[in-house]
Order: sequence, then C-alpha cells, then structure tokens
Amino acid sequence: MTINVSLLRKVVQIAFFLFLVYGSAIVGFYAADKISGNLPALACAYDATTADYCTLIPFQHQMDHRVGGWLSDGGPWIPALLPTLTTLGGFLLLFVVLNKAFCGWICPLGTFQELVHGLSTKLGIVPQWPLREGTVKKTRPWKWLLLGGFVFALPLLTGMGITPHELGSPFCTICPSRFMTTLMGGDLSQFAVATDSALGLALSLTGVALFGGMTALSLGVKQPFCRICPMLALHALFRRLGLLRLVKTATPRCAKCNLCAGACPMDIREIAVAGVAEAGQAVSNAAAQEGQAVSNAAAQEGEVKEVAAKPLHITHADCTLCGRCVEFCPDAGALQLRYAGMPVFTSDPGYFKGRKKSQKAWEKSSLLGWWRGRGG
Amino acid sequence: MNSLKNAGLIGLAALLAIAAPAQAMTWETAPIQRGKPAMSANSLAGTPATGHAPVGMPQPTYLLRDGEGATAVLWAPDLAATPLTPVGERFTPPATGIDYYHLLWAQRLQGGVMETATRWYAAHGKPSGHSPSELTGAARAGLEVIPDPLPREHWRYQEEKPAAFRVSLDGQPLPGATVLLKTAQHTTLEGRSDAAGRVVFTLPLDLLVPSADAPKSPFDRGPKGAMKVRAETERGGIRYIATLSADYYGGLSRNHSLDWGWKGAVGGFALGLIVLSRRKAGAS
Repeated sequence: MTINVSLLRKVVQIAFFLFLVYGSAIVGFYAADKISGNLPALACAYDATTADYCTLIPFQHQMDHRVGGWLSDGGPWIPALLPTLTTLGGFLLLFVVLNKAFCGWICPLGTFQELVHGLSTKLGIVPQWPLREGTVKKTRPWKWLLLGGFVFALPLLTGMGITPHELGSPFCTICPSRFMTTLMGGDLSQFAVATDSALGLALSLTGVALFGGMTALSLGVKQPFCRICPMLALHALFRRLGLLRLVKTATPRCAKCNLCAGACPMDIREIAVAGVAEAGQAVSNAAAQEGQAVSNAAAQEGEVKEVAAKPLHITHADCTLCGRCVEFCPDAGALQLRYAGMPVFTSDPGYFKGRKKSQKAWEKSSLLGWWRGRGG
Repeated sequence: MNSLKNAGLIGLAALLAIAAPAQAMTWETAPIQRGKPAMSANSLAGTPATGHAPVGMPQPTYLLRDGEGATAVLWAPDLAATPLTPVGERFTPPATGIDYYHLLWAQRLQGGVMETATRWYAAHGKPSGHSPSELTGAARAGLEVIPDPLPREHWRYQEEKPAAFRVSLDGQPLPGATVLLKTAQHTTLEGRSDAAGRVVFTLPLDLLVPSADAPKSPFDRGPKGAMKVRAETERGGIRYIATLSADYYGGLSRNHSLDWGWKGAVGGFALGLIVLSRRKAGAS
C-alpha cells in the first residue's frame, strides 16, 4: 500500500495544530512547563492554552531587555548575550531534527492557511492560481525585512532607548498567529487595538488587518503569510544544518514538465531548473568518455537518463519541505526527501500517477460544481 | 447612667470586634527607599547584582503588615524553604539565583487564630527545572489562598478579566469557604469556593488613572493597583484566616478598542478579497 504523503502531512498538521493550540492541558500552563520555549514554528505565548512558545518571542525580548541595554550602557557580556545564545542553541537543537519541515508539517499558522485554502477549494468559490513569477520575486525579500527589522533591529533599538516601547516586540504585535491561536482558544481580547499612542494604534491595526488579509488571501493563494514569515527566513539561514533535506538528481528532462514547480505551494520555480545544467554536462561527459556522439536533442529526450548528475541539496530558502514536489515528479528518483543522507521519500512514476489522479478528483469536486451540475 | 452608657458602648465595641473581620496580616511591596540606588554598582545595565528582579527593576522588598509574632519563610521554585528575618520592618528575600515564581509565606498562631499571609513574586535566574505548579500544589499547613493559575508572561491580573484562586486547608481543597476580594480602591467582591476549593472573580474596573503629567518609569505598564484575597474558616476550635496579596493592572477597555480591532480585521479581509479579485481579472 502506498501512503499518500499529502494526506499523511495533513494528519500530522492537524494533530500538531490541536497540540500546539490546546496542549497546555497536557504539558501545563506555565513557561517552565512548555516543551522548549524555542519552537521553530509560530505557536503563540499569548495563547493561554498553547503547548509551546515560538522562538521569535525570546529573541525579541532578549534584544529589548538584555542586548539593547548592554549595547547602550555596557557591562559584562556573558549575562547580556547568554540568554540569546541559549535561545539560539535551543532553536537549533530542535531545528536540526526537522529542518524547514517545521513550517510545512508543524506550524499551526501554516495549517490554518492550508485549511482555509482547502475549504475554499471545496466550496469552489474562489479560483486558485499560483502566484506570478514577478509577484513571487517581489514578495521574497519581505521575510528578511521582517526578521531583520521586526525581530532583531527594532527590539534592539528599543532596548537601547532609541525607539519607543511599542517597538519592543513589534513582530508579536503584528503576527497573525497571535490572533489565530487566541481566537481558537476563545479569547477575543487580542483583537483589541491599542489606542493610547499613534504608533501603538498603527502597529496593532496593521496586525489585525494582516490577519484579515491573510485569511482572505488564503482563499485563493496557497500560504500567503508563510511567504513573508520571518520564521521562514530564520530557517533559511540554518537550512544547511538540518537533517531532512530536499535532494535532486536532475536529468536532462527536468525543467521540461515543470510539474514539481507547479505543485509547490510556495511557487518555487527553481526546483524545476535546479541541477539541469549539471545534468546536461554529465550526459555530455559520459558520452564523450564512451566516445559516442550524443546529440543535444537525444540528451534532451532523456535517452541517456541513467547518466544522471550528482545529487544536489536544493532546499530553497522558501521551501517548507512539504514534499509535494517529490509527489508530483514523474521521474524515478529525480527528487528525494532524505533524512541524514537516507532516502525517506523518492519520486516514483507509479506514485505520481495515483497522486495526480487523486489530486484531479479533489480539485474537481466542489460544492459550487455540484450545485451547478445538479440539474443534469 | 453614664456608666451604663459606657458599658453599652464597650459591649457594642466588643461585638463589632467579633463580628467584623480582624485586620489580617498581609504582605505588601515596600516603597523604594529614598537615597538608595535601585541597582547595585556592579550591576549589568540595570540588572541587580543578585540577579533577582527583571532587568532594570529595583530590588524587591516587602513589608508584613500586622505581622507581629509571625514566622516568615521564602519558598523557592524547587520547594526549598528559607526563614526570613526582617531588617527594620522590611523583608528583602535572598536571591536564590533560579527562575521564576517564589512564595513569601508568613504564619502566626495566636489566641486560637491561625493566620497565613502569602505573596507570589517572579525572580529571574537560571531555569529551576521546576514548574510553578509544584509550588502552588505543595501542601503547607494552615489555610491558604493560592492563585490558580498564577499570572504568567502575556497573561496577568487585569481589570475586567477573570482571576481564579484555590482555597486550601492543610494542603487539601476547602469547598464552601467565603472568599473576599478587596482592592485598594475599596471595591469588595465576595465569592464561595466550589468543590475543588476554587473561586473565580472578574476583577473590577476601578483603578485610578495617573495624570498625564505624572512621572513615568521605564517599566510603566499603565495603571496598577493592589488587591487582597481573603478566606476564613474554623475547624477544631481554631479560626483560620488566609490573605493573598497581589497587583492587578489596567483593563484593555482603558486604552484598547475591540471595536476598532474588528473593523481593522474586516478591513484587512476586504482588502485581501480585492487583491484576489484584481488577480482574477488580470489572469483572465
């Protein structure tokens, strides 16, 4: 029996969603009870029933309360920097285990967006398209801006006394996960915007509007907030350390079908072309060694597919390691998810065939479609 | 006639003294002493040398009101108990060096009345490896009002929000106890503990807002006030009185607007739909 990886992922996502949003009933209420306090996913400390805290919270607090003050007033560096280093260490210990799969498999906000998108698909009310290449390119720098500016720079400047108190933890103020997770716990108070200062009002209004906008965009676009999430950027910085990786053994046929890129919820078109030049080169080299004149055309037809390029680690900065590209690759072994170098899921023509069929069936059946077609 | 009147007054006074609750022993935060630096000279950018208080906060000192003859103890997160001795009338708990909630506990048995006063405070240090629930759940002698749960980061006692407590006698839940919550602004709420000894109050909107030109500290988090939660019971000929003191903060309605929050969220949703519809038009 072949396991549908998308279905398996959905089950894991929902289980983690329930655990991270309501898990204090299991782990306990206080910070000391939480699993790590450095989770590489957006589980929110404002949610009274959460099972763990997102690592971006301590980073902001430490920039504001420790490092900023130390930079402006001086003093011994160990007590100033040790908490940040501890947070980074705790984050990395967890991150190494699953790499960017914390986004694609664990994060409750990612799951929420996917559920909204799935609901929209089932209702058939909003057409679904991938983002245009230009839009994707314009969107990508935002995650770095949010990580550098909202998680590190502004809290640091606040700790140094340069920027006002409202900017002490600015990412938490605008983070849609704060609104989503507290809403799921029945707490509406996080939606109240600050009215005691213009900056506080602007920031908190941005937060609620971002949550509303993200929910609406999720109806027609896959994972809209994930594309600008600072956690994605933080993961990108350390993705070479993760044990789980997306590996590609490109063949000259790659970049022809673009099915992997089309399946990617983050619209990473680079998956399709990654390693293709190297594959072409490998084919030419092999042909030259064998003394055969292999035409480019033949190479492109994949007649010498067995002469494949070296496997490349292609986990892109925006990748969430969801595995959809591997599912939708029709070439045997071209794409793989590897854990500590060992293949855990490999592209396969047989799996691809079945998966494509089930995907078509999923997209075809919608409430609106049923309503329109009910007469005949 | 006068002596009769005096006797009557004395009798009335005696009756009132029995009927009215006695002035219970209570922990209070001590005002910062003038001329004393809030932080020690060798502190890190505002970190007290003891590593005790949050960065930049003054060293916490407490007063035990009406606490003559009481035994005071500091309970650390790892359940270690340290006897406390006041300097003058001030108690400065020693630094334990560990995170997080500590319990100031004082008890006195006098004339058939056992009084217990408690106050919880957070100290910063290395992780203790103990959950605050271990300290809240530990069995201690006498009657005690225990926060259930304690405030934690991003979740504190706030006007218009629920605050829950558990009444415990010799470590066991005490159902049916009358519990009074009194604020410094003289609001009094009354509740009764349930089968699990639990009682929940909605904190009143009664804090005084400081004037706009009042000096502000860097740690100013809006209006803040003191509250006392008091429970009383009698068993085996002993009258038990427990007092928990804590601070609570200004409610969201003072400087937040839920109405505007919803409008912002709906506005963002509408904007998202517009972006989607424009995308549709572009694609077609």
